[in-house]
Amino acid sequence: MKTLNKFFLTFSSILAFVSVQPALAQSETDTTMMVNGVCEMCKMTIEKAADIKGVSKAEWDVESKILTLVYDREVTSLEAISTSINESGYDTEFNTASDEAYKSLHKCCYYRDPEVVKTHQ
Amino acid sequence: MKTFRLLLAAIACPLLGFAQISGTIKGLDNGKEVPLPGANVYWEGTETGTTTGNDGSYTLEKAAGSNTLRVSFLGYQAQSKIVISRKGTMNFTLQPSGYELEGAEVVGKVDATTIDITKAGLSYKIDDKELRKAACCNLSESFETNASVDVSFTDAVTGTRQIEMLGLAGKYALIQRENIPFARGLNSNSGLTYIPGPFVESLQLTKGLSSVLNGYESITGQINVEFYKPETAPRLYLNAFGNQGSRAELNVMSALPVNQHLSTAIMAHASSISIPRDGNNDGFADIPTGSQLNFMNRWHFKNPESGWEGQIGLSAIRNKKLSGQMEYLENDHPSDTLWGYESEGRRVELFGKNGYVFKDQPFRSLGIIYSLTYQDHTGRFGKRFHRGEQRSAYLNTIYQDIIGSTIHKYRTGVSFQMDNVLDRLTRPDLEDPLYNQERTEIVPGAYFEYTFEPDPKFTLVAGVRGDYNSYFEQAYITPRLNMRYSLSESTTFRLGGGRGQRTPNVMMENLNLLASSRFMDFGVAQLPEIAWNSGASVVQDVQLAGNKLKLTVDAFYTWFENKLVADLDLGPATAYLLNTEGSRSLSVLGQIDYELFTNFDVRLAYKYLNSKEQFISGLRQSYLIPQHRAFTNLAYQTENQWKFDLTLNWFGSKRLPNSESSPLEFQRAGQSPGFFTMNTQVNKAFKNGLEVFVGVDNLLDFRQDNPIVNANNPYDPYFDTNFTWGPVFGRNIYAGLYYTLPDKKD
Repeated sequence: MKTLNKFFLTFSSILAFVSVQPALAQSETDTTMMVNGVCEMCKMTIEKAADIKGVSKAEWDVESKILTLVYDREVTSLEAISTSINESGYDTEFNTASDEAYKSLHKCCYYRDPEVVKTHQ
Repeated sequence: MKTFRLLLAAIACPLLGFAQISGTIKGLDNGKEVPLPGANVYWEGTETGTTTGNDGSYTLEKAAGSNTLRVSFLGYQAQSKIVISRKGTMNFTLQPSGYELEGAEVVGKVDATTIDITKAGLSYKIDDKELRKAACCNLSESFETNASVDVSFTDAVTGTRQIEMLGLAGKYALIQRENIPFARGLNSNSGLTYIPGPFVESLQLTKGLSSVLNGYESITGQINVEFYKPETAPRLYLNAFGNQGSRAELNVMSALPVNQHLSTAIMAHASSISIPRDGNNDGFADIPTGSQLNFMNRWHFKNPESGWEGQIGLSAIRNKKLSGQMEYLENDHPSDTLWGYESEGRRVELFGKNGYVFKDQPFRSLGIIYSLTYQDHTGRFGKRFHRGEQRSAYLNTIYQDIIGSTIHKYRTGVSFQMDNVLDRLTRPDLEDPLYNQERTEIVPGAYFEYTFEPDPKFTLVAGVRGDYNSYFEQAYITPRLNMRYSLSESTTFRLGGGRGQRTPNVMMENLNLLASSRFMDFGVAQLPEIAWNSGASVVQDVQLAGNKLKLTVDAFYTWFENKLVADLDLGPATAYLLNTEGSRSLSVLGQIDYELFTNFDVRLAYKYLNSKEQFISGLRQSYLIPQHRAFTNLAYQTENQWKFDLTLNWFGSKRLPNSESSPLEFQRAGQSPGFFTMNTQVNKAFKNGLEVFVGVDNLLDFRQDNPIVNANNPYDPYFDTNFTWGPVFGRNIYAGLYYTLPDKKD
């Protein structure tokens, strides 16, 4: 059941990102985003970067790489959250972090390196 | 679930419009980053890939089902990055793959034996981890844990253990040390015994025909041995070995950096078997006593500013063996009544390599390889004496470049080989030698090899070389072709074929025949041996119960346009040596490698060999090659560095020389029985760099009874040692240690 939930959540998150017209009824949005990372230090950085104005909840899970978000669509956007995470050095499912931002991370957080990933497994 | 999400994201991707990953691939060249045009970029496990443009840049759609982006480029280490984003920039900086004139080498470092999936030929890389599974001693014995190469049980007297590949003797494989031909000419039979196992850092075994770059001599395959180099050798390395059969070995290696551009390494080996043993009471020693001294000093020079790199080395080897009747050994001097075997081989070599990588164009390089060798052999077989001498000079040049992009690569160069050989058999009571050949071959040659690599899944290597041989006064054209196609990450097909050629040294390569009372009939003109080889293979990876299972099936067929054949079928009194057309060998190998559970590896192999030679009486099975052969290796390693290794071998029946015309008491069955042998070894490595091992060879204590025909009267007719199909020496316990001085932390 949990997996099915994730399925719908993912799907809705994509739709949410795609749709240009904001919905009228409710501006508080509950969604998820894939963010790559490997450890607890990554978790701190990602959650801090996601916690921009308008975001009321940002929780990242190291196993599933899923960032669960609650944010106000009138104040911010999924794209803005994604960009903020990119600037902190992490890749999201939408876009990559710059080389400079990635390199500023601690060596143990080099989530793009398969060797580093292996050591965290 | 993760992959499913990604898959979904990728499917939804077109909704988002422009969704591509782009970036620049650079390579580190002498500390400077240079863009790499023509580098391969692909999503691992998919068919989505591209190559970089002139400025090293690429743009690639995010592939469904993969989040690992992989980049490979000739002369650089391949690199992977995990990328989950649909859009963005992903730059790579590749590290050079080290000094490699051979070029692209993308080999995983995890397994001790790896099949290089990027090479067009079926090529195995065997590292020192695997070699330590069979601790004793020189390279001819190191293939005990490998199914592709067999180690023969040679005649009961000379004790030279030869290798076999594809159902043919080791001399049909090209044995090189760092791309310089090593075991050829006079030492083509005994060459591997001149390579102490502990000197070897890794070796690469290629089945079937290899690159034309290395000459025309390989027919069944190529074994390229990489010794420790000044850059890779430990500061100090010690290896000691001893066994029940009074064999003692000591190897010492040390690397010394001289300054930032220059480094050197010294390697030394001493071994001996001191006490003769006659376990089967036939009056003959089971294995020869003797000693070997082996010394090498090599230098490495590198100047990153100029792009030049080079190495030079000196190697000196002396090998002595003594065997025959026990009383002969005890008296220790020649006697006319006792049958004795003596052999002394010496070898001195100066070798070097120079390489130049063009600045800012790392795909373009020039290499020069050269060696100067002197070797000789002095031997006694009862009343017959052998003398062999060889002086050789070798030069090879390699220029590699691309045509437009790295989709089209080529290597070309000229080579030069000079051999001056003396091969003579005498009897002191006869004025004329029994066999006497002195020849000089001067062989200038040129080659061109084209590699077509349109994407990471397909490689075609087509090569041709032309050589002129001054002795035969003839030019030879050697074409070779290899192809690889990877259906997916887990399935790789290979196909190859072409021509190989070598000049036999008639007596030197058949010395084992002299350990008999047979008369040598040299009805031969000196002709080159010429063969055509073709082969195909499939390597399939399967996920089974969470672990990777590797299945390899290969088949090779070799056909000889001309082969030097030793015919022992026409009676016990004579050995005929003749050139014939039509000898052939079919070899089919099936092998499974599987990690049954963590750190427990199983290797199962079965080999079918149908090796036939064109004898005087027609096409018949080759001697001493089993038609069926099976092999199991079990290896287990614990977390605290204990290693257990067990090898079980099964040899099917082998054909023996026809002895029907001998008196009944000296007749032998036409076929040997099938039999098993088993070896085992335990290693324990400690944190301070010490590793100790203890093992047993021939654990089942299987022995061939009476390997020697008419052993009581070696100077009478029918005396013959060429019926040895199994081990002569029984169970043999050994122990030893490796010590590596840990690197200084600075």
